Amino acid sequence: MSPVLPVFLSAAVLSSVMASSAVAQTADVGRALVVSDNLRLTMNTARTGAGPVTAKEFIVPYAGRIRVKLQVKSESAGHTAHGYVISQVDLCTSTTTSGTFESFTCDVRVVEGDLVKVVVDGELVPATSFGTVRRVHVFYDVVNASGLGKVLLD
Amino acid sequence: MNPVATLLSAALLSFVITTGASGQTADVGRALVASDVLKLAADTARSSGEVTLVKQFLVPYAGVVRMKFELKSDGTHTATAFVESQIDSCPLSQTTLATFQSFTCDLRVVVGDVVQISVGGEQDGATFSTGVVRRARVFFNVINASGSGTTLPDEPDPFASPEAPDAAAVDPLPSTGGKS
Repeated sequence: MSPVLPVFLSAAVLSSVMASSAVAQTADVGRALVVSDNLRLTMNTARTGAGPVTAKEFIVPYAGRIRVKLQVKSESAGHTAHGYVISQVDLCTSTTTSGTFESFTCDVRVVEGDLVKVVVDGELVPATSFGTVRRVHVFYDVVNASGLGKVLLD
Repeated sequence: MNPVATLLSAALLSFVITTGASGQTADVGRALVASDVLKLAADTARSSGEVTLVKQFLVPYAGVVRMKFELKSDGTHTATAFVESQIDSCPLSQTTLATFQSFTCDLRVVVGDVVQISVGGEQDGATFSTGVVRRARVFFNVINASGSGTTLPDEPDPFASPEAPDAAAVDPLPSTGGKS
């Protein structure tokens, strides 16, 4: 028998033990998003619509909660303009009648890989008026997931 | 070369290679499977005439969870509970009994899903009877994800036109045996 074979087999066994240990240490419970003031995504272009119109879209990497800051104004001062932040599991509404941009902050819950939409809307009655949204900024931190569920409403 | 040194060198090299490979494939995440292990409970009795959201749960991973809850009505009208996730819903849960009845349903969920239970009574003229939900509970186990997809049951569309019989699948342009 080759003298190398026992050494090779011993090395394989030892390596297996070491690797198994390493894998057990690296196993984790995944990632989650929590609201923060760390800017991650920026969409500054002003978009106008009535009807409503999807003005911005972005994707988030994990489930959790994110903070969305946006500016909304009405193109016809005195008429209502809405900026909606819509995820698969949450909705936040920002409303103004101001003709100059107003800042809003929304914390919304998202699922993993969520496609979050920012929708702008004006008024259709008594006459069509437009809303404008700009400076949509997305903030979050990535943390280790708790691995637990949660009761949100009892 | 010293056999001990050879052994350690080989083991170290193998470890580095194995660990690198494991970094790509070792952890495919977690998933939920329906079980009888209680994880979340919202026991408070909630009632409503018009359909109203009364219970909400956040689940940590994708998979299937088991929902259990109790529902009652006023003894004459139908009370209905709706249980839904972002990608699935349970069959309607209904009762006309004035004592709590137990319902169970397995529900598919995505990561970070919000599972909701809504309840309502039955419209009777201008008013609604009242439905009551209590003891809404979520059961699941957390396991390692398979890392692969799953084919769900491929049910035939009941509204589809009847498929042509297999005989019609015969090649409409059979070979001419090489003749032109």
